Amino acid sequence: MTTLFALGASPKTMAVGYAPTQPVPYSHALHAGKLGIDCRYCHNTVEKTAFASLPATQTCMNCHTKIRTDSDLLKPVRDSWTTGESIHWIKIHNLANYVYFNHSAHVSHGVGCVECHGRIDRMDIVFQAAPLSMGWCLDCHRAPESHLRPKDQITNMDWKHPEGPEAQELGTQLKQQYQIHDTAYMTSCYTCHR
Amino acid sequence: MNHEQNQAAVAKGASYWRSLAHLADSPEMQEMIGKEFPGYDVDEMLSPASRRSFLKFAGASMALAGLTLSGCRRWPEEKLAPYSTNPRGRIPGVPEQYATAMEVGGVAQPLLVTSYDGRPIKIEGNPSHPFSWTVKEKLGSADAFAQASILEMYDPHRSRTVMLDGKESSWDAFAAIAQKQFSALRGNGDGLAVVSEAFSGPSAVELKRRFVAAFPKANWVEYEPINREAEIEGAKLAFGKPVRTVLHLDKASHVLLLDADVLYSHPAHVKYAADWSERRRSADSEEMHRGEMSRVFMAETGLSVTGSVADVRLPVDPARLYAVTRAIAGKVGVAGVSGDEKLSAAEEKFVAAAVTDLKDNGVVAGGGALSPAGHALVHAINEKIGAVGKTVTLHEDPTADRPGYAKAMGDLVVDLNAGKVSMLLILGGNPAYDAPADLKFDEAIKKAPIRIRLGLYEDETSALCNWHLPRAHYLESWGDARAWDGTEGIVQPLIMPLYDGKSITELLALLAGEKVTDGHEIVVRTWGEQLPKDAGDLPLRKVIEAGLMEDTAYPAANVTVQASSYPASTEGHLHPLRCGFAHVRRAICQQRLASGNARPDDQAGLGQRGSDFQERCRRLGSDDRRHHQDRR
Repeated sequence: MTTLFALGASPKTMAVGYAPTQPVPYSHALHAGKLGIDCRYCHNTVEKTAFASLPATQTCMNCHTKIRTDSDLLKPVRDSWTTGESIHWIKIHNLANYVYFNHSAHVSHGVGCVECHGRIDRMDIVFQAAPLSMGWCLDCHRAPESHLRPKDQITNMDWKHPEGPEAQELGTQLKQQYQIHDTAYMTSCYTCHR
Repeated sequence: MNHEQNQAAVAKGASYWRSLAHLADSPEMQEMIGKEFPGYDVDEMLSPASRRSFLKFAGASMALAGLTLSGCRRWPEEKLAPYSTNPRGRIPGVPEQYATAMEVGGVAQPLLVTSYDGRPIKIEGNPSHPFSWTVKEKLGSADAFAQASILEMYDPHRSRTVMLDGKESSWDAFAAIAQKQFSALRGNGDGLAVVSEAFSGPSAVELKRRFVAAFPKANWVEYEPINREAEIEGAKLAFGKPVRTVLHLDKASHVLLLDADVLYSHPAHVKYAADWSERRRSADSEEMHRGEMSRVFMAETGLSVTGSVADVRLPVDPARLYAVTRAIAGKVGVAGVSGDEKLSAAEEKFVAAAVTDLKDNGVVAGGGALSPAGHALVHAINEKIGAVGKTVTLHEDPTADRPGYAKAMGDLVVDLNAGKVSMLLILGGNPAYDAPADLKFDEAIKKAPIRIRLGLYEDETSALCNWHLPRAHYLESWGDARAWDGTEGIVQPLIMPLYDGKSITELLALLAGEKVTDGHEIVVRTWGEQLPKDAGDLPLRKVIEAGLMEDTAYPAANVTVQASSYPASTEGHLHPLRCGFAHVRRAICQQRLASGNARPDDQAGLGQRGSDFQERCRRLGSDDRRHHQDRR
């Protein structure tokens, strides 16, 4: 019974791998992986705001007025463009309302996209890679050093953390450089539950 | 407490009890009081075996939920709807601030409104506007009414649809019928009467001009229940024309106030409070004006915010206020006023203290219950002590170029009762509720066959009208307005109208048959005429962003006191709005007698001197501020 309880209610089971069918079968593997479009071309507010905005239809149409202009798969995008109505995407990474999460605080302080979202650049259909549970958040909040990367590697999904003593050295240096708070602040209830 | 004790308590006449059942002391009550957690079995809750079984059940049910919910999903599905085209400069999730203004009684209060993802959420003063800042260029202030107006905008009780005789209608239906009726009146306007709120913005004034030009014979009545009629009349007595008085309390060392609540109920009170506190620095302060404490003398007819912080305060009967003013004028040496006013000991002491240093950077201001003659004396005193141009400046006041409210409303009621008004248009306000009770406006209004009302709420006035039209809130509409000193500012909307409302300007444009009826286009057109034309829309954008147009204050009025004598203090010096409108009623009786439409009691009405003050208080609420709030 206990096992069943753990399996049934754990975010690992309930959230990881969630991959709903979106109105447009947008492939991150194609756009971000093969074509190498930077994450911030579409998610342009991610360094400025708490919420990583989805791109406006306008952003899609920057290219798709010229490329694949009559693709059936892109019809919802063209419809949105002509009518001005939003495309209704399904939210994948969904935190509880009692958690405050700020994208800009993470992205501009050395946490790469890949740390939480996984290899988006290899996903044809985006799924949730990490459990996004409180325990999982705290793993990093307790010891941020091993998860930080240089500023120019934030959106690079291929970048690997160094191994061995070098890792410790770089982590400490980056923590200082990004002015990451001490453990007491990083694990305080109020930091996330405001 | 056990049963015996309880019995004893009741027998003694228990001094306190938790309920009537407790006092009656029934056996059920006894049992209930004995338990700490009524309805629960404490022993069972705490027994280990029971807790384990509870968790077992809970775990099983959650596991089942996890297995059976589609897709093993933790949360309900949520949608994300990004813009089709991003609005310029908009970053979702980042609050933005826009300058706008709230107009009350024809005076704008400059504001800076915070908007979150397209919804206004907080109102503060505009820090770049001199009539709003408390710390120059850093901190804007707004009063309680402006702060509360955001709740007014979201108020679910606001009127939402066009109503015709109590049934839902539409703007299209109204426009079709009204345009036909109004185009029949075009060029004439006979029988058309308008009761409007006061407004000061160039676009609104221009639209009024166009409306009146289209219907030249229409009777345009402006009415505000909280107004400064006595002040305007007083300026006319003193100078021969109305002026806008601007106090400079940051420059005044001695402030003598005659029922003038300048820190709270004055239209410019946000600025006045900031200016006044600028001169209340103690000797320990490290800021400007260190140690320069101004002194405030207040003679007032009721306790006010300003009176509560005055250094010397004299509670005074409204009927004595003029006498005190006259005594001060006499002491200062105003020509035409003898200094032999009979005063009580308290009044004598107050006057002596108040005038001592008045010539040394002093200023006098009147308000509240002060009569027109009292206001004229205030101007004369200011001139005599050399305050004009230093601690007080006088400006032209184009908004006062209109009939007095009392006369205009009185004449309208006479016209209504005589059946001369065939179409009555009521813009904002709530005259059926707040017009002077003696006028019986709520009865007269029914004599007009067609009654159209634009209002935020379906209120007393709407109930008496055929058409009720929902009004757009100031946070929903384009417009413009002038601050107390006349500085022009643009009212820009923070959100599209929630309930399909229109502003006064838009309705006037619609009824006057204008080609341009959109509020934004009207504002662009009006401002396009006074802004440089070679730079596209940039100058207008700058004005909208700043919330004000520099150098648009009312020009200084080049006036000197002309009055050479002032009435004695023995009678007739109550404020016109505080003496029950007996004089208006007398005028109505007189008009009816003259026109041959006299009623049986009109001859008796001529001699009436009594006041309906209590009746008015009952209807209006005796507290002006509270009433003001109701109206907004």
